[in-house]
Amino acid sequence: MISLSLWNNVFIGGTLLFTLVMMGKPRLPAMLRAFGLSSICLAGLIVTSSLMHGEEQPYTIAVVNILFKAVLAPSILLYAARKAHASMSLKFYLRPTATYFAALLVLVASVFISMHLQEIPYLSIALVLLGLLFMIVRKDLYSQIMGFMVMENGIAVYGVLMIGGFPFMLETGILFVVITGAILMAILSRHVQELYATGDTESLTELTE
Amino acid sequence: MSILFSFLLLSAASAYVLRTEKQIRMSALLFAILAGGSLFVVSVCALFGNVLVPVGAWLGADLYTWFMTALVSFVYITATIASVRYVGEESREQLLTKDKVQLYFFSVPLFILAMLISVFANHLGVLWIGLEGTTLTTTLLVALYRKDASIEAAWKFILLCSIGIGLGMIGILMFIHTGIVDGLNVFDAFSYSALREHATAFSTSSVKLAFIFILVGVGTKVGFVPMHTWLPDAHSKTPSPISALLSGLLLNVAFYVLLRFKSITDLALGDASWSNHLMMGFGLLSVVIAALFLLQQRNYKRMLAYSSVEHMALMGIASGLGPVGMLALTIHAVFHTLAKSSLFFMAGEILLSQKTTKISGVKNLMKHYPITASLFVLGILAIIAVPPSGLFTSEFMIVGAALQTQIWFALVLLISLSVIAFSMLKSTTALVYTNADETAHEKAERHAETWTLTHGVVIVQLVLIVVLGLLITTTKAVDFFTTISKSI
Repeated sequence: MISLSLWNNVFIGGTLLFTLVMMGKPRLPAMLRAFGLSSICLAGLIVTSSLMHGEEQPYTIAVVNILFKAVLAPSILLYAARKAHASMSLKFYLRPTATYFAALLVLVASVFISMHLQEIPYLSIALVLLGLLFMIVRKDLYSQIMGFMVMENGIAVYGVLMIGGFPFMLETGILFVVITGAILMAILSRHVQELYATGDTESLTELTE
Repeated sequence: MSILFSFLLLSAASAYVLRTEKQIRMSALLFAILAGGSLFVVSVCALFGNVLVPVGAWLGADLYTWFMTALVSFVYITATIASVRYVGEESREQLLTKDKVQLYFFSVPLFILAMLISVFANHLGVLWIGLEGTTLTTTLLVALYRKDASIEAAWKFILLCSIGIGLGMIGILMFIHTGIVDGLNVFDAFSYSALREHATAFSTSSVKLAFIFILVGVGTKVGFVPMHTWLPDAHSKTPSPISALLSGLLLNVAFYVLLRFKSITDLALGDASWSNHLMMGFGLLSVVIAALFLLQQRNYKRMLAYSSVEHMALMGIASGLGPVGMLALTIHAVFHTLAKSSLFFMAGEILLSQKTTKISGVKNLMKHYPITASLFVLGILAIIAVPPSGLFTSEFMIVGAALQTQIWFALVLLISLSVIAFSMLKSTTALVYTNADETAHEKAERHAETWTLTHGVVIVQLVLIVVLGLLITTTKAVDFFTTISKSI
């Protein structure tokens, strides 16, 4: 039981660490790799938490998680970017060092929030806020998609840590919906790339009042 | 129910099986009449208590569910009829290629299915999948024309709605966690009816926090200010029959989901005043902002979209005004759906004839297209609650109930509604009655107006608005709607 708890903490740390690493990556393949590693840690967290909650077979859900979030989603995004001849260099408002500093502030804020709102686990708050921060500090479409995916990881963490995971059918359904969202965003980002010859969200300014 | 749901899947599949564009449109119409008609009959029978319909283990149905199903199935049929005409015309003009027509008629039944799943879901995971499904099935419809603005609108739509539904999911999970802490097993904790049954024992602080997440998350989908920014863009850039579905149905469906969680929250807190204040606050803010944006509106589809923000806001206010408000909300949902979908159908006709959504670009509408112009004006009169539109009854009840709670609140509401009515009438007058000289090219391009299926659909809906608007004042109708509104 002690070792299971230890592994649980390792995976919690890994999920957070690789998300932080992702936030400073200036190139798309490196960003996707870091997200993939973070999702693999999340799958590990699903296994350890489910075992600690008394579940006997959490492995299928973990494998499906890895397949969808660590393999499919990054591959689809990379394929869409290459197909649209998009630049692999990502665009940002904040340079990586400043982004890390902002992320640190978010982590500190998450500690305070989780101390006051004990209904929400620290990792979940941190991932949701880091996802939102990532969408704000980056101005390319791919980073925005990854920000959304990080947020989704935060929601999944809530389910795992507070509820002990979802039933298999439901987890697969949710993952299917999330991956469909990522595919649609990839399709749209390809159209934006073709229309504006850039993946910069600053080019999307036609619809203003 | 699964048989009826499978009709929708068959309809979606047929879009990619059939060969010609005309076959695809006709098949979509056939399936809409078959699936929508059957659903409508079943839901009306259920509403009048004649049948008990089994809906499956993960689904559930109360009277309000059947009420929403009746609305969804009715507008599904009318929107498909309008789509057959609209898509046919745009294909003829080569604005839509066959693959886009396929995508259109593939997405519409799936969108309806996602809405029905959201309405029927008793399992909260299924509910979330249904809600997110409504976003996913319509994203490519918003981007259908592949132009700069439509792609931008689609991007905002999927990103903001997905984030919103994500936040809503946190709220849903918090409700489930509260249920588990209270002693429910995991399967029961995912069940809406079980949560409702045990709500009185829930921790109030957890429930409050969960409801705030759901209000912000699902409120994004409803179009509450300040989470509304996707709505005018998405509703104005989609093909008009889809705008009708988004404005007339999707917002109502999302609002229904919000109401279900409000009812659990009220039960848990033992008093509705906390959630009432939140709903009324968001509602009033949304009405005021919608009024300000409508004042300077230059695009008639965006004008209709902001009008939807206003009407959802009115429903938000109504939901915070107790039993009278809930009755007004139920009546409002029916008439807003009928009036707004009619207006978007007519906006589609205007767009087909004038090739622009800018009010200043529309010329001689009443002169050359009198049927479309007249029906649009009648729709506007209905939506700004001119009697005998049923919206007059519901808004009268909302303002009356608001006057009894806070006079300043009712005054701000009345002023905002007056500004909205004035702005919409002013814009409509400019849209319909602006006469200008046409160039030789414009004259050559213009075709004489002919009677279309869409005109027929809109006339039926306007007649329903008037007839039901008169009926709604009778005691029997009030009792009927009161029973429905109490079932949430």
